[in-house]
Amino acid sequence: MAGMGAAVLSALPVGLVDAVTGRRAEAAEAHYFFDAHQYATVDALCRRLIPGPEDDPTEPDPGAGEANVVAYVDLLLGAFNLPAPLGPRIWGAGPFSGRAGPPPWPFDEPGPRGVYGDDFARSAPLSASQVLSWRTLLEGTRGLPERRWADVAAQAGGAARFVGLQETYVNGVVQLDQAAAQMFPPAKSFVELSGPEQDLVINRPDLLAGFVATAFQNACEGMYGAPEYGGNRNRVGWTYIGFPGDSQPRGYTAADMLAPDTGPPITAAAVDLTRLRSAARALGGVPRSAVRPWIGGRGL
Amino acid sequence: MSAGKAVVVGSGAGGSVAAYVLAAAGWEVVVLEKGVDRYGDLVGLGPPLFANDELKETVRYFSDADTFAEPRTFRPSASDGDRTFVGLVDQLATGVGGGTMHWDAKTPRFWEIDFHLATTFGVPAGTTLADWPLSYAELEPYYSAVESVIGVQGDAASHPDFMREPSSRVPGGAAQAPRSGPYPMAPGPQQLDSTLLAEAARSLGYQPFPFAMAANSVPRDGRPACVNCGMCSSFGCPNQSRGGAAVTFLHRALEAGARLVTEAFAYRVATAGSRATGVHYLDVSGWPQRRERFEAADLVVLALSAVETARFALMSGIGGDLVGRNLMLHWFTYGFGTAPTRMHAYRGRASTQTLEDFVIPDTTAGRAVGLPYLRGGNLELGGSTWPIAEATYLNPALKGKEAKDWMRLSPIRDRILAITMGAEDWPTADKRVDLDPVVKDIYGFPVARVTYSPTNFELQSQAYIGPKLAAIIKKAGALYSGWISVTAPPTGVPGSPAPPGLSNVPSGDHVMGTMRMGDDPRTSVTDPAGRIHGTDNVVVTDGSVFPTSSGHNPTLTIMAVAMHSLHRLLGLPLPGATKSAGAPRLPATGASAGWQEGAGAAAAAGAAALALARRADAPAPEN
Repeated sequence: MAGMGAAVLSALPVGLVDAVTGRRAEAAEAHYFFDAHQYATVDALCRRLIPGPEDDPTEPDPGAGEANVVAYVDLLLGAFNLPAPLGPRIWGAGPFSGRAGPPPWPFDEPGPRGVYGDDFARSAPLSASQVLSWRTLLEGTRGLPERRWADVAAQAGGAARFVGLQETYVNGVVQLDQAAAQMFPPAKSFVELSGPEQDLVINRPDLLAGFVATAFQNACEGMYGAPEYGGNRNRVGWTYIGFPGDSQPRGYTAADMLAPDTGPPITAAAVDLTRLRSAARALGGVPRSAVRPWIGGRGL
Repeated sequence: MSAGKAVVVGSGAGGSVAAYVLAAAGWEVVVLEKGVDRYGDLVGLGPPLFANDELKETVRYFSDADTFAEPRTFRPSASDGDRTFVGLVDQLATGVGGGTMHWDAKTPRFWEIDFHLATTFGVPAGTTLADWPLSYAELEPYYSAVESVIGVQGDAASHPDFMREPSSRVPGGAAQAPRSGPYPMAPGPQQLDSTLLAEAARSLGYQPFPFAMAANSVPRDGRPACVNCGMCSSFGCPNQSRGGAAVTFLHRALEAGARLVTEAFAYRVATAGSRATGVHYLDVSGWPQRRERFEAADLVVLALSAVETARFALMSGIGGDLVGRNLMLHWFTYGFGTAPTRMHAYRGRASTQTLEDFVIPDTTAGRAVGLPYLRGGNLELGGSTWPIAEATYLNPALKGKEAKDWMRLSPIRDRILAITMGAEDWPTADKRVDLDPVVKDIYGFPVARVTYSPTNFELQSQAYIGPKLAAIIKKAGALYSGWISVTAPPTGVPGSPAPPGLSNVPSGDHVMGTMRMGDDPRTSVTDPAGRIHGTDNVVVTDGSVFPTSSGHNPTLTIMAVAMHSLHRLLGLPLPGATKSAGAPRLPATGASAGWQEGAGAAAAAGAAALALARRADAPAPEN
C-alpha cells in the first residue's frame, strides 16, 4: 500500500487531519459536532481535568489545552460528519505512522527509501454492522427499530434507555451551566467561572460520577492517544510522560530492552499506596457495560 | 470419513486448524466468519491494518469484540435473578483470526496430569472434574506439529526438571511436559522487568525460564522476525511476525483452496435426523438489510469459542442437556508492585519469562483446607499497560495536577512490576452458559448469559498463592507489592483481602468447557474426536471440548486438540510420522516450518513453490 504512490494517497488525509488538529478552541470556524459554546465549555472542562501551565500555575507540563483535547472530543462525536475518504473517522489505518522510521522488508515496496506515508492518518473502513454500532453509540437509538437492541441491553443493565454519547455531551454542557448558575450567581455559564470555581462545579458528586467521568475518559484518550485523532498535538501528551509512542516498524533491540533507567530512583514515600491498590484492582479490567460502553475495557 | 464439503464456523484458533487439515486432506472447505478481515491479503501476507495505536486497538476495540453490538450478560448464580450485568463478559475478539488477532501468543502446553485429574485425585464434591478421553502422550505429536506451523520460540533445555523428566514433586511422578523435539526457534531478546522478576523468583527457589511464544525470533515461514515493539497483547500485530491462526493455519488453508466468507453470522445448523445438512447464516455485509443464506455441508465444524459455540448449539437445539455446563474460566490473579526506576516494559513482547512451579498440585496445602490439592497456573513475569489505560484507571478520582503527577510517576505503566497468573478452574454443573431471556445482539439473536461463581478450590488457591506472587515482586526490588484477584469472591475467604468494590464479572478471556468431550454421552457432549454425541457429522474444535482447564494459556492446546480430533475423525496418520522430506525447503530468509500435513503434502509442496516464486522478486530482508 505504501508503494502505490504513497505521497498522493496520504497527502489529502494528512491535510484533513492537519486541519482538524490545527484548530484552536477559540477559533470561530465550524466544528464537526459542537457549536461554539459547547466547544468552549468542553475545552474549559478538559483544561481543569488535565491542566497545563496556563490553567494551573503550579503545573509544569502541557495539558489538555496545549494538546487540543477538545478537538479530539469534537472529532469523536462528529466522526460520521467527516467527508470521505477520511470519514467516518473511527479508526486510523495501519500498519505504520512513519514516526518510527521507514518499514523494512517485507513492506518496503519499490519507491524512494525513507519515505513512508502516515497510515494512521487514513481511516480504516467500517462494515455495515460497525457503522450501525458506532452510529448508535454516538447518536443514540432515536426510536429506530434497527437500533432497538441497544435500548433493550441498557434497560437490562438498569438504565431507562440507551443514551448516546452526543446526547451525553449536549446534556452535560447544560448541566455544567446550570450548576454554575446555581452555585455562583449571577454567572450564567461554566465558562464564565474562574478555574477554582469550575473545580467546585466539577466536584459536585452527581456531575463527578456522571458527565465528568465520561469527559475525563475521553479527555485522556485525546491527551494520550495518537495525534491523528485530533488531540495530543505535537505529541505533548506522550512527551511529558516519557512515552515514545508507536515504535513499529523499528521496534526495540535486545540492548534497548535490557537498558537500565538513567533517571533518579523514587522512594516509597512517592507512591500513594491507597491509589496504587485501587489502580491494581483495575489492572484486571473495568467491565465495559451496555449502559456506558465507552468506559471500561479489558485488563492487563 | 471420505472427502466432501465441510463448513467451518469460526476462523479463530480451532477453526483455522480444522480448515487447514480438511483442505489439505482434499475437502472442499468454506469458513464462515461473522466479523471482518483486518489482515489485508491473507494469501500473500501483505501489510495488515493493525497498528501500535492504543486508541484504535483497545479503547475503540478495532481488533477486539464489539461488546456494545454483541453484549453478553452475567450473574453469579441462578438465585441472582436474570442477570446482574450486561456488556463485556469474556468476549473474545471478533474477526478473521478470532482471539489470536490480538493474543499474547504465549504457548505453554498442558501437563500430563491435566488429562487424568479425576483418576488421580477423585471427583471433589460439587464438581464435575473428569479425565480427558485422550492422554498427553497421544496429544504430543499434535503439540509439536502446531508449534511448528505457528512458529513457537522457546528453550526446552531451560525447562524445569519436573517438566522434562519424572519427578516426585508432582503427584503421579510422570514428566509433565516432555517434548519430542526442540522448539522451532530460540527465544528472542528479554525484557528488563521480566528478567528482574525471573532473577528474584530464582533466588526464592523457583525455576523461571523463557516464555514459549508464537512470535518469530528470526524470519521464518514467509514472516519477518518480531521487532519487540511492545504493543503486543491486546493489539493486532503490524508486521505479521506473531503467529496467530490467520497468518499460519488459515493462510495455508486458503492456499490449499479453502474459501473464507466474512460478515457471515451463522445462527443454526440444519439437521435431518442425526445428520447435519448445512448451516444457516446471515450475510450481514448490508446490515440492517437481512440476507438469509444457507451453506450445505457434509461435515459441520463448530469453532466459535467456548461461550459462543454453546450459544450456537443452544440456538440450534443440538447437543442435549449438558450443553453450556462445566464452563471454566482461568482464575486470573495479579501480583503488582512499583519499581524505584523505570522498567520501560513498552519495549518487548508483553512478557518474556514464565515459571510453572505453581502448576504443581499442592496436596499438602490442599489437605489443610479440606481439598485434594491447591493449584495455580503458569506465571507471566512482567508486563505493562499503556498511557490511556494508566490515565483512566482511576477515573475520575484523580484530576487536575494530581492526574498529571500520577502520569509522571507512572506506577502502573513505566514502573510496574507485574505478574499475571491464569489458574486452574474446576468445572461444575452450575458454572454455565445459557441464552439470556431478554437481551439480544445487534442481529436480534439472544445473547449468551454466563452464570459463574468460583468454588472454594479457586478461592483457597488464590489466597494461598497470591502472597507468593507479591513476595517475588518485593524481592525484585519493588517499593511496595501486593496481589489481587480479578474476579471477586462472592464472600470473603479467611486470609484473602476480598476487596470491596471489585467486579465479579469474569474478564480473563480464557474460556473452556461447555461442550466437554468424553466417552459417555451421559456425562459429556462430544465424543473423543470432538463430534457431538448423537450426531454423525457435527464436530467441535475449540476450547469448549476441554474437560479440565489446567493452569496454562489454552490456545496451543485448543489447536493441538483440534488437529487431533480431525485426524481421528478422518483417519489421518500421526503428523510426526509423515514429515515432508519431499517438500521443497524455503531459503533461509523464509525458512519453512519443518512439518507439513502428510495427507496434503502435494498441496503443501505447491504452496511452498508459490511462496518461493513470490519471494524471488522481493528485496533482500534486513535483520
